[in-house]
This record gives sequence, C-alpha cells and structure tokens, in this order.
Amino acid sequence: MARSSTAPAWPALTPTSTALASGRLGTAAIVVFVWCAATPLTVVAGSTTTGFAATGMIGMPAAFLAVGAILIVFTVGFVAMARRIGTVGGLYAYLARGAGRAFGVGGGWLALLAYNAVQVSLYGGIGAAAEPLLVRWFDPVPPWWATALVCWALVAVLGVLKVDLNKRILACLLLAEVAVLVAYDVADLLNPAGGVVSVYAFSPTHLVASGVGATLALAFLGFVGFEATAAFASEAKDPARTIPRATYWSVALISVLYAVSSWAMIVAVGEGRIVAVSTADGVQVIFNLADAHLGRLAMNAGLLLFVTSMIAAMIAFHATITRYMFAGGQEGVLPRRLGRTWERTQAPRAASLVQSGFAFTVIVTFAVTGWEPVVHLFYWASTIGGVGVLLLVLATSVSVVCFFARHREAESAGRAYVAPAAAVVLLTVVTVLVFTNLDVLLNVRDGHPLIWIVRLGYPAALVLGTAYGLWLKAHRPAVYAAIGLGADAITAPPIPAPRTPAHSRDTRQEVTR
Amino acid sequence: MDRGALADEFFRLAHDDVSGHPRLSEQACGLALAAGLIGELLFLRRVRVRVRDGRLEVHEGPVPPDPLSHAVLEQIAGEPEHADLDVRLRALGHDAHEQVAHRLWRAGHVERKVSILRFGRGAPVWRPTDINTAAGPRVRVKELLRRRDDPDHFDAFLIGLAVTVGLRAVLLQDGPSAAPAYLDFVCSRLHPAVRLLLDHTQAAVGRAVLVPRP
Repeated sequence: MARSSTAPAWPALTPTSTALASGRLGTAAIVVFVWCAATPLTVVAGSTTTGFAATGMIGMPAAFLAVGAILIVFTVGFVAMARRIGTVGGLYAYLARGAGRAFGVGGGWLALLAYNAVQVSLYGGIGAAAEPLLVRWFDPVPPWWATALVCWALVAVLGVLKVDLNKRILACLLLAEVAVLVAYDVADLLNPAGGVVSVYAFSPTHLVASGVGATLALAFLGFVGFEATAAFASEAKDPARTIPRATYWSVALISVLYAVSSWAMIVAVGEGRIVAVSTADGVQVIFNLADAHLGRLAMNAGLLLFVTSMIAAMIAFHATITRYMFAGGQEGVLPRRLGRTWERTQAPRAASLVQSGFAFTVIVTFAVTGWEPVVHLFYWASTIGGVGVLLLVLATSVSVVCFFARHREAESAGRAYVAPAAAVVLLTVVTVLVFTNLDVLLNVRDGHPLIWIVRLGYPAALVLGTAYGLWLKAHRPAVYAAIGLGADAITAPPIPAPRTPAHSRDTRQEVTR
Repeated sequence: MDRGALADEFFRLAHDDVSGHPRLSEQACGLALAAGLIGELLFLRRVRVRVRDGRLEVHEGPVPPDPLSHAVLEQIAGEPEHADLDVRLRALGHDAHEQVAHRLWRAGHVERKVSILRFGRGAPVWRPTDINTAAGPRVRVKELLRRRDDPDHFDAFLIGLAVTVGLRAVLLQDGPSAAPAYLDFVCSRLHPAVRLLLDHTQAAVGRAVLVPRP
C-alpha cells in the first residue's frame, strides 16, 4: 500500500549504548528528587519551630550539623554496599543482603510503619500551612480536615494513575524553596534581635545537654528521604560515582541549609524568646519574620511554597511506601496482590489504594474525634516516623558491617570496616539518646502510653517481621530466597528441590532449539 | 486466519482494535515488544536463550524475512558484550514500539494519528486501518481458550507474553468461566527458554515500577 509523503521514514534502530544510556540519571537529578522528599521549607518552618516549642531547647543548628556528619559517615559504607548489590529496592533490601533475609522482612515491616507515620503526619500539618492563604478566599476558613482530604484525594488519584510529577516542575519548586529560605536567612541575619549575632546555637554544649535526644531526633527527621538515593543504583549514569556523589551532596546540603536556617531564625527572634515565640506562633514564625524584614510578597511566596512542598512530600512518601509494598508483593513476602500493577499505567494500584485507605482512616479518625491536628498528628506522627527511620538506618548500618564481613574483596578497609563500624557506634548512641528522651521529644510526661508504643512498637515490628522471615525460611523456601530481590524475584535462581515430580518436565513443549 | 509477525501480533493485542490507544504503559509495551522481536528470532532459530545464564546466542540460519528482524539480529550478533537478556531487553525496549509500529504502517495495517491536543509532541497514536485484522489475535486466542485447543509455539508465546505484562484481562474478556484455568495451564507449559525470556521481561517491567522517575 502506498504511504503518503508526510509519513515518517523508517527509523534506524537506536544503537545499544545510546539506548542503554537514555533515561539514566545524573547526580543533580537524584539530588533534586531526594530533596523533594526532604522538603526544606516543611522542615525549617514546620518541624524546627514545633521542635523549639515542644522541647524548649535551641540546639537545633548544632544538631543538624552533628546528624549530618554522622550520616556522612554512614553513607561511606552504605554507598559502597549500594555499588556492590545494585538493588532497586528500599533499605530493607540492604538488610536482607547484609544481615540476612529474615532480618530484611523485619526491616520491611519497620519501614512500612515509619514511612506511613511520616506520610500521614503531613495531612495534619497541611491545614495549618494552608490557612494563611485560604483565609483570603474563604470565610469561614475550611476546617483542617477538609484541606487534608483535598490533598489526600490528589495524592490518591496521582498514586493510582502514576502521574509522576514532572522533574522540571519539581526542580523549579525546589530551587524556589531554597531561594526563599536563603533570602529569609540573609534577612534574619541582617536583622538580629537586640543587634547581636550569637553563634551559641552551634555550640557543641547543646549536644551534651539533658534531653539532647529529642533535638537529635528532630534534626534526623529533616534528613528522612536521603536514603532514597540508593533506590537509583540501577538507573544512575555511572552508579559507582553518581550514587555516592548524590548521597554526599544531599546530606551535606541538607545539613548546612537546615543548620543555617534554624540558626538565622534564632538570631532574628532572640535566643531567649525563640521557644516562647515558637510556642505562640507555631509554623508561622519564619513567615512572620519574613513579613517584617522582606515584606508581604516574600512572605506570600514562602507560604505558597510551604504548601506545595508539603504536597510534594506527601506524593514522594506515598510513592516510597507503595514501592515497598509492591516489592514485598512481587517477592511474595506481602500478599501477591500488592505486587500487581494497573497495566495501563504500571501503577502499583493495590499498594497505592492500601496506603491511601490508611491515610484516609487516620484523617477521618482525627476529624471525627476532634483531636488537635498540628501537635497530635503532624508533630507526633512525623517525629515518631522519624524515630522509625532512624532505627531503620541503624539496622542498615549493622547490615553494611555484616555485608563487608562476608565480602572483603575490592573495598578499602576504611570504606568496608572503619566507616561502617563507626556509623554503627554513632547511630547507636543517637538512637539510645532518642529512646531515653522520648518524653521530651513528644512533650508528654514520662510513662505516657505513647512513649511505650514507640519503645515497644518498633522493636516488635522488627522482631515479629524477622520471626515471620524465619518461618518463611522453614515453610516457604522459594519466597524466602527472593526476599530483598524486588522485581528480580522472578528471575532468581530456583531453590534446588529435593525431589522434582517427573511429569513437570516431560509435559513441557519442545520449541526452537 | 493469517498470522503476522510475533511482535506485530502482540502490538495488536496491546492496542485498542478501533482507536489504536495503548492498553499498556509505554515502558511495559516497549519491553514486551522487545521480547516479541527476540521471540521472532527465536522461532527463526537465529538466536537461542541460554537457560543456564540468561544470555542470547546467535546461530547460523536463514536471513530474517523483514528488515526489522534483520536489524535486530545484526545488532545482537554485532554486540556479543550485550548478550545479557536484561541488557538486550532494556536496549531494544527503548524503541521497539516505534519500530514495530513502523513495520505495521509500512504494511498498511496502521495509520499515524497525531492528536492536535498534544501540539505535535508526545507519541503518535497508530490507528488500525482494518478492525478485523487488528482484533485478529485477540479473537484467535479467545477462540483457542474457549475450545481448549492446544496452542502452537507461536500462540503459546503470544499468550505467555500478554499474561506476563498484564493483558490477562484482555485475553479473558467475555470468555467462558473455565478460561482462566486453561490460560494458566497454557502458561505453565511454556518452553523453559521462552519462560526465561518472559520472566526477564516481567522483571524488567517490575524494575521500572520500583525505580522512582523524577
């Protein structure tokens, strides 16, 4: 049949090297993606001020630098292992490959709890974040849960459709966020309270003060999302260099930006008043300062970006959770249904619906019972989630040590032994401090049920998950063998069965040889 | 009924008979068509899948009848360093959709439609010129499942590939209640080499879900 002259010519087959390189991610793309989950404005405006108010301490800048330094030490061994296993799964895959598959299941359960807590916490904060904007258009202002449900619907729909946010839009939003934060910081530092710029907030003495565990936990919460760099191991341009660079840059930039921003806030408000002002104004502290120093326009830009940054974080954490569930479903560790996708979009639909269902239940429960959303959902759930991710990172650091104990070849002693061992020690110290200061962190009396839920809940998830992993080892060896392999579970070498029924091979067809 | 090339037949299964709109995501469709193109060479006995390590081996034999198969074979033969199935599927999956669409277009089976809403951007829609030909593989498989016929290697591969990438519901649409069980039976009897190729395709599709796309 004759074809019209406007029709395209037969395209040449793309050379293999070009085809393999296309779509690979560079350092900058990975850093941008990781930062979108780290949400600078949410951390600085939300977690930091709520933290000042709840803990009554001003050591956040020192804590951001300390946690950043510890995570850099952790990253050394972590990326060395990432390079070797090249997995696309989450942190639980590191646990499975390092400390054993059963431990990987425990890590997976812990991760699901922790990330879900962080994700749903954002719905508690979005109402307060959007209120200053909504007050101009609505009278009366819609209740927090209405705003939360609108965002929830957006996240749920995007999750099922797998509409990935355009990377250019994400990068622009992120750059705008950072630009706004830097502008706020400069303005704050040029307008110090009482005319004095004090660097006392950076003093290491804050790191030995009583209740420091709370400050460290809040600082760590700001970094949650940095571990996502490892998920890109198979998609990076040059995994051996891109992944380490992206992780180091993410941790270092996050650490410096948060430390300077929280310090600038303290300088502008005054060391003596920051706790009281944070208690009174909450997440609005940084925007009130911007209004005073830079004007209404700068404040509005920040308020708008605060909302978009929270929504981007909701989407990012929703995606992280659905990927964990999808990988578990593919392996058979979680119900197989969770490992299925909607063929038209390849969205892990069942996993996405389960996460959205959980978030919906939480929002509705808070709305119906009338519980206060900012402290009891945003602050509590996010800090509790952060503590869970801290435990997960600690477990990962232990796995890195185990991994290099078995794979000694081809890594320097510093990368394979010294840094991972140091990371285990440092992260253990931080975790112990956090667990002993949970009352300060959550701002509740010692012995409050919430403290025991955290103290027992996470270890229980880890232990029960590991026990389930061991049960799989005994009763479902094929599923056990696939733990930590994610989508590659299907191509994993089969477990040599003791006895193969003769007919299983005989009935197979003979095709081309 | 005349059958087209394996990848062409899968292309028809993976697109709407009338509108030509895809039933699969772009990535999954590309990977499945890549498996289909490798499958064509498998049936020509020009390549073999080594079950022990999942690598492709090229064999002497007849020249593939069409330019696309020929180009794919030349590429596989010319790059023994990329003989790994995962690598080959990924590379071929990059433009398999466009290539197969062009083959169908050359033969007059589809026409190219660019939506004016896309302002000339994005992938064009390849609309079938004849609904009956487009629905051919779907109708044939449905009939096969209804009559519980023993499929030949070609149809068994096609069914296996469709199920692997999530088109099970398309094959079972309006089928008899016993069809799902028979479909599973057909898939369970695939040749080990074909099974391996399809498993690697499924893993590649799953990996695409697991890697965040910024």
